[in-house]
Amino acid sequence: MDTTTYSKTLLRFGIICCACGYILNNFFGTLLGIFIFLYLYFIQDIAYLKIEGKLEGTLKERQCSKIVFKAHGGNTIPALDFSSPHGTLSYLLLKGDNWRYIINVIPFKKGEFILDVKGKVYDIRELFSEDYSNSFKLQVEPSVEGLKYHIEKENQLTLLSKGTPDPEIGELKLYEVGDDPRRIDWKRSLKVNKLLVRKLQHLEDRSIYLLLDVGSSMRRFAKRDRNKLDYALSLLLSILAGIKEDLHIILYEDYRIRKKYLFRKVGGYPKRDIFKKILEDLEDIKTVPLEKYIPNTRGVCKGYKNQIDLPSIVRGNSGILQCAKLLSKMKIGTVIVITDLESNILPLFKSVDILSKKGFKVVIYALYTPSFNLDEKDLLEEDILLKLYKHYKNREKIIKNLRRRGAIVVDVSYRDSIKDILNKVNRRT
Amino acid sequence: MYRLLLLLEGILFIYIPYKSYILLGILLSFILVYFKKSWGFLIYLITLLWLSNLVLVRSILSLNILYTTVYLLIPAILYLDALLKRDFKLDLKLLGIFSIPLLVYLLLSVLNIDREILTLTYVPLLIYGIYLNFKDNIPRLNTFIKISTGVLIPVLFLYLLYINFPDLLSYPRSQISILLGFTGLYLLLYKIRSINH
Repeated sequence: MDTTTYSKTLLRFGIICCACGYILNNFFGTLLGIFIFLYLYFIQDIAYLKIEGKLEGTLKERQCSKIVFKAHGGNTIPALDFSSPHGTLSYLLLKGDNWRYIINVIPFKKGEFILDVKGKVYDIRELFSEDYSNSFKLQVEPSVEGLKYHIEKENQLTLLSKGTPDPEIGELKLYEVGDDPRRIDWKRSLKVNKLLVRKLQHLEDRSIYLLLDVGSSMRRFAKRDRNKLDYALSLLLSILAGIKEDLHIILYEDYRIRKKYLFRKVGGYPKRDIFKKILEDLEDIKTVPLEKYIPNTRGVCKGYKNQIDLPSIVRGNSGILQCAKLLSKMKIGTVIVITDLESNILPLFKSVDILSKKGFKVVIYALYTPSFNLDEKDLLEEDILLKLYKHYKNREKIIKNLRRRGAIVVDVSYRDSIKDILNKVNRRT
Repeated sequence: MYRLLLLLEGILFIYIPYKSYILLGILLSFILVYFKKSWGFLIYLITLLWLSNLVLVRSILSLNILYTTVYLLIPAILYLDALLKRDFKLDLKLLGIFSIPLLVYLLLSVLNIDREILTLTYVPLLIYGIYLNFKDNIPRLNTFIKISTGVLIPVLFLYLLYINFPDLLSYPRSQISILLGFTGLYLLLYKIRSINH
């Protein structure tokens, strides 16, 4: 049995009364303190902190259904919290002779539905409390809404798994009266000569995969305040803020996957926890300071051929490719890659191929390395300028290639704030 | 509501200075509890502390201690219980019954008769009030005995000691320390026993 603030206050008050009585030579104060102690003991003895929960109501798949949780128990005040991995819910407390919670539930699937009840039960005077936890198993009935949803999802999946280069086609349908006119796709409507509307996406079940490159090229920096890794991390966090789906975060190096995180929650994530976890792991990664930055002028193929120098175990087994292989076994969703396009380019192409074939949507945030490492003063040197131009041309080729493969590439430079990046993304999609 | 009435009557009947301010403090706590429980609770505790410093009882073996227990201590605890439960239902029948001592008090003061009868009307109503308050969860006999022994045993010990050493224990502070010591010992023993169980 736990004590609440009321009982703690009362106990201290009793002690103060006793002390006052002793100091002032007054018997009444002492007796009052003793009576308060006895009262507390008495209440602790008669407090009955057990409730029996009962659930009433039926659940229907993908439909808002109401269930009632009745807490039977004499002279108790429940303060409970409901959660479920199988659906979204909200609840309301009704007072009365018996305390009742009315819970609105939207189950995701038919079949089993588990409702977890956790919280505290107070006695009627709110002097003592006890923890309560229980889980209930319910059956979800199939419904028309659920059937509709599954058919729509299947359609979407079949369109995506064929590897259509433009995933937007799957999301269009003919305009019907009642549709939002703002969602009309005018460009495509002109082509077909019929009004086409963008469908609302069912995003609830799609997973999000965030891949962060922490390889050797990402670690190098010439200016301490313009660290690429720090920028990538802040970008990752700003992306995190808007996500409500299942979330996987993978940190990968050049030749291996460094760390995998999985966050699954119905409501939203405790973002501070994620941030803390990632920061703890990133502390081990040592950044490499450079004396002077020279743009990488190697071509696409050259970078890949360098692997021949490496031991046979790691050859052809780069981090991003491992990630792609791992993801291809998982649920279809959106893959967001944060990388500078400096090393492991061919594996990146390959993995984009694999992922888009499986039906994943790939978004690549490409950090532009010279913007992190060069100032305007550095540009005065002719040698560096020439190399920079070559580097730029190479990069342009890579990005074009990636776009041809179906990925959305967003070019990000050091000065871009989150707002600029968002504008760029909107322009690309 | 009847518990509030009992406490107000108790304060009215006993002689203390600043009576009206104490009554006001208790009424204020009664009003504040409607808005927020903790406010009313704190105001009441402050009033109680002040009250405990105003009422002077020099010896446990005087008649004063009996009057203060009946008129102040038990109604104060009862009202504290009502305050914590936030249970202030307006029952006119009960209100009528519990305002009998008030009428008797007025009558006696008008007729200028000795006030001994007042206690005789107040005490049965106090017992009825205790019964009404703990009616819903009637304590087991075990608990009842434990609580009553918690008060009686230390007082009994104090009385025995007082008979043996009357000059030593005539001073209130020494009486209080003996009483507190025995109560603490009792609570400690009870706690140790409950842990062992």
